[in-house]
Amino acid sequence: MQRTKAPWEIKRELLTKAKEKTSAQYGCKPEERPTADYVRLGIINLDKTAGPSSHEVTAWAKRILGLAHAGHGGTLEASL
Amino acid sequence: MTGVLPIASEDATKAIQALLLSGKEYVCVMRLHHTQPRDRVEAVLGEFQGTIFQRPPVRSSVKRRLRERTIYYLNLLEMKERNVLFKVGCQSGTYIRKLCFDVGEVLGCGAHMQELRRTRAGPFVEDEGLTTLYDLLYCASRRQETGNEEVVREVFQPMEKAQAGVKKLATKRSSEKSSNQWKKLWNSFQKSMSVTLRSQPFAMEPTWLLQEFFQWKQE
Repeated sequence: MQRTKAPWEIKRELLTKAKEKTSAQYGCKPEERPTADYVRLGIINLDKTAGPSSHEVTAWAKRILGLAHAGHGGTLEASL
Repeated sequence: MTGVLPIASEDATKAIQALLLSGKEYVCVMRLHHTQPRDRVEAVLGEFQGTIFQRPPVRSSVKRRLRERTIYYLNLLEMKERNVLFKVGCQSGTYIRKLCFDVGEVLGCGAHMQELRRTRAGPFVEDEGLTTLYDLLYCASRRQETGNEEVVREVFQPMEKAQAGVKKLATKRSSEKSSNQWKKLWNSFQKSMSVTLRSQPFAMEPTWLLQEFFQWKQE
């Protein structure tokens, strides 16, 4: 059967039609955000342990770091 | 079931929508119910590459109707007696437990999933900044002890990373969004997307970008 390329295997390129400079007044690079914003707009690449459910793990992470909200991307089954 | 589980905090939860739809990669241990020759197992696993049909299991959170899912690759890594270790890259919403069962049916001997570890969720991979719950605890306690907020930075990654696989379009600040040219550009861009996230432009204002006009092109 014909193999489909995974999205991460596809090479994408940047097409620049015109260039323009921006003012540093408007925001900053994601890595240079002040800590409060960096946390507010951050994602944790968490290694889930076996046992608890994805929802439980998310709730724990939220409590540990004292976040107001937290959500996870893609449920990982709990058992084993 | 262990492995990569991206957790978004507060305002980043909105950006995680792209991750739910993005492909996943797993390493899985499948237990066969009878011993099988390696080349046969390899051949059957190879057959599952491409488009497969799957009905969600009885205990699932989605409607149980037959659906199509794409398996990007399915490679046998190791085999010992009845245990088969394989790596699978698949579309989101593929049930690996079901996949193992189906492989067992095709082999004729039956099989079940023994262990599963997710190694990739969209742009998030196992070897880039994977943190454990212990790391989080350590971080939080250090923050409390030193009073230094900076320490929590190391466990976070900017939410822009979640969008790494999404095609982007940026326009000049001066460009009129109502102009015909812009509309034409937007329409052709939307047509080139395989997944439409609502009908709204799924882009953040890239004010920090030096090139303000760029477009992703699929190979």
